[in-house]
Amino acid sequence: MQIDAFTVVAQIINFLILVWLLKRFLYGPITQAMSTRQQKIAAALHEARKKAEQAEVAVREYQTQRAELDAQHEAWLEQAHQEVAAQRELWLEQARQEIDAQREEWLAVWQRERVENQRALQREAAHYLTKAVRHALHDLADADLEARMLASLWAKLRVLEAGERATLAQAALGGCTLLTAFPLESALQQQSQVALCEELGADLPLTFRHDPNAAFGATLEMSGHRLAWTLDRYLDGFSEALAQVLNTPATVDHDAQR
Amino acid sequence: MNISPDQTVLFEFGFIRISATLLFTWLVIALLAVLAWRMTRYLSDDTALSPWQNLLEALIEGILGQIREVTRQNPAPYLPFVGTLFIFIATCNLLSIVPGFEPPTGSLSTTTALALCVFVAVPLYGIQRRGWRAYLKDYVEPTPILLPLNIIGELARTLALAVRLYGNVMSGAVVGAILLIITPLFFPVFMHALDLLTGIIQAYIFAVLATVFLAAATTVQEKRG
Repeated sequence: MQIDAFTVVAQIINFLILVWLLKRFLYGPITQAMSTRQQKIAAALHEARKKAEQAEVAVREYQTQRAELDAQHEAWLEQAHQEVAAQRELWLEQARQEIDAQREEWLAVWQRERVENQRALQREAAHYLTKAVRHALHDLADADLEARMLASLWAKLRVLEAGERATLAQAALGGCTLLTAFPLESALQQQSQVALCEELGADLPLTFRHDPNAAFGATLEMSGHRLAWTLDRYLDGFSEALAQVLNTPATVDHDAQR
Repeated sequence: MNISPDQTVLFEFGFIRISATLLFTWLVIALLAVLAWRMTRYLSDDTALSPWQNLLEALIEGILGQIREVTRQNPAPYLPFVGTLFIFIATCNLLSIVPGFEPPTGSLSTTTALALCVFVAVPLYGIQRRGWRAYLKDYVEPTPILLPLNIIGELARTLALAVRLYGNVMSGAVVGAILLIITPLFFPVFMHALDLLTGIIQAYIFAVLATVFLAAATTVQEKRG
């Protein structure tokens, strides 16, 4: 077992050379590659963390925007509900007004028709009443109704005051018209001519006119004046009584109808 | 029978004596240098690695881990020295299986040279890390009376390191040769296999002991401080 000094020195030098060679060709490149890879991985991790943070920020922003949109949506929905409710109230009010106006119109039409019907009824009643009265007068007094109405008219003229009669006589000079609701027979026309001449003066022109829609009776018309005897007054009382029987007011009262 | 490859002299001129130890050492150095150069030509710093690079990185990372574990320091400064010790000794021991190859580590001159390298490296690392004053102060601690003992301890440590490696490698080769004479068929094969195992273990022990000495030289003062 010997130790050779030259070999020891040479081996030391060999070992140092080997250290340098391995450092140059093995440790250096390997550790450099490992270090570079480590830096890359660290950079990648850093980038990943950064992107994760950015993603988190984006998620938070998205959630905030979502919440804002939800709130806006709720506000719009509430506003839409209010507008719909307001529009509904408006349309309901318009419909109510239209219905009221329609009702008013219908009521007016109905009232008008009612009045017309009532008038027709009055006329019809007057017609039948007149017919009945005529028969009654004819049977009881042996005189026809037209003659009695004309007699009543002339009697009414006869009881006028002198001034009024003078005024009527003056007006009659322009022409007189005897309006009746029924056609006068020629005998009655002649009697009427005679009666007029007796009461207001001789040779007064008298014309006869027949109108079925006129008030039942006889009306003497002259310029600016008229003198009448009709059944209207009696028929009015009859109408009131009839209305009471039918349980309806005789006159039209819109306020009361509402 | 040659116990040591030093005894096989290939060339001699004056004090220059080229023995088989030096020849096989150069062969190992050349082999390691060429392999290192070839394997590190196309290193990738990406995550996809070639199998060779993966093997090298595992080896280097293993050595770095061992150094880090022993020294509790950054292992990078110690890697060239300790790593080369381990790789050189392990390669020499593993190549002993090749017929005709005589491992240089079976030479007491080689192991002495390696031990001297450790002997010199320990104070160099210690001084580099801690400075002259702090390192030399360790020799007179805890009392100056112990200075001779500390110096003897350092020398004995170096001697033990050299003899341990030499003894193991040389004994393996000698025992293998003797068994080859006595039982020439199968038994030497198992002994060679056992030699491979003990060769790796010896390389590991030598490198770890060198690291322990380096760690002691570079961390004692810090612990005391």
